[in-house]
Amino acid sequence: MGGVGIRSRSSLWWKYLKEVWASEGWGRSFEDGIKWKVGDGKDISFWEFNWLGCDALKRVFPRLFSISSAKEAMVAELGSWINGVWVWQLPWQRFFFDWEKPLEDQLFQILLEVRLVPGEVDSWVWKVGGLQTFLVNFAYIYVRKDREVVSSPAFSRLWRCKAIPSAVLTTWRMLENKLATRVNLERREVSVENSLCCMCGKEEESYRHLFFDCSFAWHV
Amino acid sequence: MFHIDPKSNFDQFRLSRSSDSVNVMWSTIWVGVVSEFWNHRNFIIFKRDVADASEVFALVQVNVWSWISVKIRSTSFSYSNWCLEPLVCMRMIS
Repeated sequence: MGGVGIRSRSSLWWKYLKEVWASEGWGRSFEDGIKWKVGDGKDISFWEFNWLGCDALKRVFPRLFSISSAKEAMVAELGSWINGVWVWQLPWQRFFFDWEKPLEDQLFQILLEVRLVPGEVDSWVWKVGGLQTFLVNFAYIYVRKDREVVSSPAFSRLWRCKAIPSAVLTTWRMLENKLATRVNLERREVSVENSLCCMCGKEEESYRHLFFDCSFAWHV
Repeated sequence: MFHIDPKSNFDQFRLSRSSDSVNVMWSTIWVGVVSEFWNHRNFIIFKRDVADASEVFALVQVNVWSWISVKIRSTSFSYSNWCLEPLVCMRMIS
C-alpha cells in the first residue's frame, strides 16, 4: 500500500484506476503525482505514508522506525493539542543511545514544519498542472509523458477541422479502418449477405475500396 | 481521390502555399466528403436508397457550409456564393 491508503472511502472508480496502474506498467506511478495535504492527521499513517514529500519516514529514518513503539499509528495519534499548540508525543520502545539523538533532532526539525488543521480531513493534492485539483487531462498527459506516442500528422489536422463531432469521429474511424464495412463485419464474424460493395457490386467492401477505389467514389 | 494510404491522402488534401485557416477548410471538406459518403452508403443498405454521386456532393456542400458558418464567426458569405466560388470564400476566412 506504500503511501496510498484511504481504504474505507475507496470507490469503484478508484478500484479500476488502481488495477490499470498495477497491470499496465505505467511509466510513473499515481503516487508520484499526488501529495498529502495534512488536515487533522487521522488518515495519514505517520511512518508508512509519504506525507511530508520526502519519502515515507520509515525509509528516511529506518533506525528510529525500528525502535518506535507505535509503528502503525496515524499522525493524529502521535501528539496532542496543548493550549492551541500541537505537541508531538512519539513513543519509543527504549531510551535513545547517544548517537541516535541527532536522528531524533532531525526528525523533529522536519516535523516543525507541519501544521495540523483540526476539523479538516486529510486530503490529496494533485501536483501536476498547478491547479491542485485532479483533471483527467493532466493525469493523462502525466502518465503518457514517459511513453512514446506515435501520432500521424493527419490526426492533428483532423482534430482542428471545423466539422461536427460525429463527422470527425466517422472520419477518424475510417482512417483507422474501424468502420463497420462489410469486410470488417465479416472479420468480426457478423453474418452479412455478402461482402461486396453496395455501390458497384463488383468488389469487396473494404474501407479502401469504399472510399478510394470504388467507381462510384471516383465520381464524388 | 487517389489510391494511396488514407491518412496521407487526408494529409495531402490541401494547397501547400495557402494559409493555415484555408487548409483547415480543406480538411473540413475532406471530413465532409467522408462522413457524407458513409451516410450515403448506410442509406443505400438500410433504406434501399440508390447510389447518387451528385446528391452526395450537394449534401457535402450544405454540411460544410453550415458547419463553418456556425463555427467560424467571421464567416460572411452566403450559401450561393459558397457553391459558386468556394475558393474565394475560403480565402475570405481569416
